[in-house]
Amino acid sequence: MLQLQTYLLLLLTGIMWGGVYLLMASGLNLIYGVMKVVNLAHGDFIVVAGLLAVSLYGAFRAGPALAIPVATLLFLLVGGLIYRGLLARVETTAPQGELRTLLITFGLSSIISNIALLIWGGQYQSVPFFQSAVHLGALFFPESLLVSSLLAFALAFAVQLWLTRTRSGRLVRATAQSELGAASCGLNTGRIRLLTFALGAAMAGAAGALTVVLIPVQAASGGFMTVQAFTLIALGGLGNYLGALLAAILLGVIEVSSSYFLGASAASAVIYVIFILVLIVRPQGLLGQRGRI
Amino acid sequence: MRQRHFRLTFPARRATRLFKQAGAWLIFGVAAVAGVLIALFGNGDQAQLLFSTCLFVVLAYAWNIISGLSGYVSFGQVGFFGIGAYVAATCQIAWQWDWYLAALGAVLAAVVLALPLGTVMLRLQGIFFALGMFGLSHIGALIATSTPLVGGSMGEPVPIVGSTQETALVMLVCAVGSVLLTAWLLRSPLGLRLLALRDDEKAAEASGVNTNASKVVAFCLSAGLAALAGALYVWNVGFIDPGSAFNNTYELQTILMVLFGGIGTLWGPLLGAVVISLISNALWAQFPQQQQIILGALILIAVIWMPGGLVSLFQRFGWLRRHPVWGPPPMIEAEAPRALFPAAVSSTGEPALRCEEITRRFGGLTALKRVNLEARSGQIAAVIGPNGAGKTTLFNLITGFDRCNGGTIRFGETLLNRLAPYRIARAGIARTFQTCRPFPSLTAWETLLLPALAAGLSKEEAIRAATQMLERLALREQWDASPEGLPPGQLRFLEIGRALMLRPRVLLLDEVMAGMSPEEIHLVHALLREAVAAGCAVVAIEHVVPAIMPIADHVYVLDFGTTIAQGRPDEVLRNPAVIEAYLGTGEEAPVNA
Amino acid sequence: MPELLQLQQVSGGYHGRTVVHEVSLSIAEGEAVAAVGANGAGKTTLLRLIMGQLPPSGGQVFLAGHDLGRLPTFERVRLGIGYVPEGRALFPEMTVEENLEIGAYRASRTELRQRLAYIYQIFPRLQRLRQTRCRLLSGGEQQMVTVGRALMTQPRLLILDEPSTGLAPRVVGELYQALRALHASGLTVFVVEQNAYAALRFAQRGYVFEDGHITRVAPASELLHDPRLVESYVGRASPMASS
Repeated sequence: MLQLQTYLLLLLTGIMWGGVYLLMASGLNLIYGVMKVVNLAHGDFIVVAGLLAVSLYGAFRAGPALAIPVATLLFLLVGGLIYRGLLARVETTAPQGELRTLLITFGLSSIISNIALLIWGGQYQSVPFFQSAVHLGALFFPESLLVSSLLAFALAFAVQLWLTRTRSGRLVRATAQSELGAASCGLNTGRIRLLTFALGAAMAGAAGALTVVLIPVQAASGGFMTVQAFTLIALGGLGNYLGALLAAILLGVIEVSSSYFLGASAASAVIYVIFILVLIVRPQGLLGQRGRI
Repeated sequence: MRQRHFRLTFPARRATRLFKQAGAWLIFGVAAVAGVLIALFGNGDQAQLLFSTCLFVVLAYAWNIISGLSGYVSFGQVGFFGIGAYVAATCQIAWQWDWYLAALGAVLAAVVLALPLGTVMLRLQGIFFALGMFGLSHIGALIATSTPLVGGSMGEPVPIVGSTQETALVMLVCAVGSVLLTAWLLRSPLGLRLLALRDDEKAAEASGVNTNASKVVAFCLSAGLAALAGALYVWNVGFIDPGSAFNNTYELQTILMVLFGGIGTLWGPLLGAVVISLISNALWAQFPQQQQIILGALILIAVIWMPGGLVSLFQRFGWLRRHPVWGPPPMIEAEAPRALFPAAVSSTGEPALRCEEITRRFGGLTALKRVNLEARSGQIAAVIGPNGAGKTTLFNLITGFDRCNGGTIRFGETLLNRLAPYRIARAGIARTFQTCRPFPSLTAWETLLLPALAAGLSKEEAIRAATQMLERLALREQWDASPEGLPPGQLRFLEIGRALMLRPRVLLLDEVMAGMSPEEIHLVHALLREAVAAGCAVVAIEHVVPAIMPIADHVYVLDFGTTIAQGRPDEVLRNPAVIEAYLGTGEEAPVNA
Repeated sequence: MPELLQLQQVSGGYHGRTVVHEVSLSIAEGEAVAAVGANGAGKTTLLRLIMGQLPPSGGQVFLAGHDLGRLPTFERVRLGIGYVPEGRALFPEMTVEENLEIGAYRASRTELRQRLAYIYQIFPRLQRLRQTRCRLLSGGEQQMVTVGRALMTQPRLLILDEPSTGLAPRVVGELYQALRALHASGLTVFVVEQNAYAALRFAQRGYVFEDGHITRVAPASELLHDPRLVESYVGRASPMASS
């Protein structure tokens, strides 16, 4: 009986963590889906948003309710500027275009994480909000995890709705599926790419400001977060929304159970191993074509 | 006439080229000697700067071999640096090996590890390879953290035996060695293969290059060099810990240096490593905190505004260009027998290649449905048909770039269905591509050498054959031209020449005469007649039907993936179904006036 | 008749290689024009130049007398050129109706409904398929969606690149029947085709394309019955005869 309860706890906690991971990856997924660019600074956006939330808490005792909108708006702006100033200058379809955009975001990642190091220092920091535990029947969950994962699923669902149900979301999907087709419908695809990158960055900002209540961050955590997010979207199939949801739950459960059974440092190795296995065995992701944005 | 003109201009061009080449080596030699002097007579700080500069030179060349020469950009070569550091540290701490034995052990361990890793990882393309390597180096760091053997996550001192000056001198020798290694690579057949596969992996396979093997060799060389740097690094600092052995900053700096200097070139990594090392050393003194930020900004600048790196600035003036392998082509006496085509291998009329009932489906679409085709030695078969008829798919199936869903393809007694493309090419089936797939990094001369070597010719034979082919294609004067500089007709000739250099028994031509002038078509016809006379079987896809009909012995007409007609050219062209397939039937509706 | 589209000595190509050489042509308001020629003659490149997908190396393109200069593709579409690109360029993961709606994304709701009704009137089959993802459609149905999507932009001029490629003859017939109806309702149509018979039966005037040059201009019915047209594709005499 106790066994069963442990497994149930692991499963539910895993699903909740999956939601958090999904939130942390969805900006990367959106940007890849439309632009075919892997933003290697994605994790650093998350970290900076988290550290910003820490500062807001330090200064005004403000919680995520203030930090999330601030971070979202800030990164909307930052993302737009980065696209305009840097990425728009490299044609992705030109020879070595993919590599060059990758290297740009790589350089960007170094700049951002080191600026963060200068501002916030190298120690792990967190925002002490939602610190109580929640009882669900006989099971206990940290409130921060419960709140984060609920918000995360809600946000992921909202993004999905936006992409499929609204006119602007459909224009973004159209550009993702055929840039030539979008242009022949009179869409300014350059502007849609700008919007997409800005939105993807804003989603990273929102994710960072929220999840810092759950995951302490320091200036250099970004690289790991990028890999984690990329693992998730690669497992789901790059640019695939439905696949990402499945992959998030799968990764969350695997991570929670491997850290329960094998210990925390083994769990992060497991993420990398899965990452490489996915790349080799199933580069098209779990679902393949189905569910592309 | 052409010959005389050639003799007049050639020595002068060669002299300037030699001067420009030798100039770079001269400066390099002076710099190396200056390095030795610093190591011998400089103080500790100077020696340390020399050491770290040379360390990055080695790392930059290591990265350049896999990411620059082979085009497989890796974000995790620092992993091999870490492995080298750990193996060397273990050898020194646990078994008290001497530093040079430990370094040797580190290199060997890295190469042995790189062999299986490379075999698996190099199947990945682009971003997947880059990030996969990033993940691998993280796994390496995690293993190092949890291993109890040397220090775990806290690290452990390694006994220092040498002085800073001594380590600097050794590192300098390694740096010079890595420059020489790259210089040798760029003048070797392996280098040719790497540059070719970097440009176009498919075209390289079609030229008989075992691209997988070449990539793995490059990967191992790169891993060995990086491990050597790691081993010597441990020896220099006298401490080992996961954070500095698997330091992502090193990866970042190395990539920056190569990009800044010029990726995929001989001198770029050296220029980049020296310039950036000196800059970052100065930055470290002035702005220790902002150093990484400035380096990151430099990457952005290099990628966006200087994609060719520092070297490209020199190359504009003809300096630091790569010297073509084994060039220039030697003068061959006019009387020398033309051995373009080896003696006929099989008697005329024998079927050399047989496709039986081959079928290929893409999802719901059947591109080819039970198609039969025979290529006979000494004959030319034409394959014609409208867009989307499945002609190119047929060639892709024969040459192994695509696999049949049914049917068999036989070459003599050999079943080709599962053979790798490069094996099919080496066996004697050469092809061209519908849109030219040249190797922009190779000269015309090297483009011809590459398949000749793949076909198993010795250096002398390959040089001789390539020289004759250049003459035959009237490309001798453009021997060192990049394909990008050739006009379309000559580019086509070069591609036909590349296919012929494999000494093929079956030659597959995919629309080679499209857009050619009558004179050019004439030259192609002459070449094909020669090939056929030597017993080669030719299969030519043509859209410009008039260009192929005069010399074809047999015609196959494909439409919607099936053979709608075949036979002698004059018979086939009278067939109304063929005319209809080309021009369409339109519909039964009345003609619009 | 006023000229709707006019090309003056337009040249262009890829990587410094000229594929289209100083092509001049003009299409009047209300005309149906075809450009036919074998593969590799430069027809698709010509359309890419007209649509601003490729910068011209020389010459000018005028729409209703205005120089299009270096306007990007989407601006040209907004100016009234409907474009059916080669290879269709549909949004494969969206339904037929979503595809069509993107063509009129700036229209009001009632406007959108009217335009959709118009498309379904031309292609009744699409109405039945409106909730189907385009990836699952047959080639002919996909081509109808692309034409419909281009019509949703309410063009003055419809340009089609090889619409019959990969379609069975019966489907080609249906497609051209629809184009004929569109032309009859006053739309100017310019179609580029390898399938010369289908295109020339539809068009009023035809241009013959060979090696990036226009070699003939004539009324379509004349070209249709001209044996030299067949020759330009299939040939009768050896090309060496001349040399």
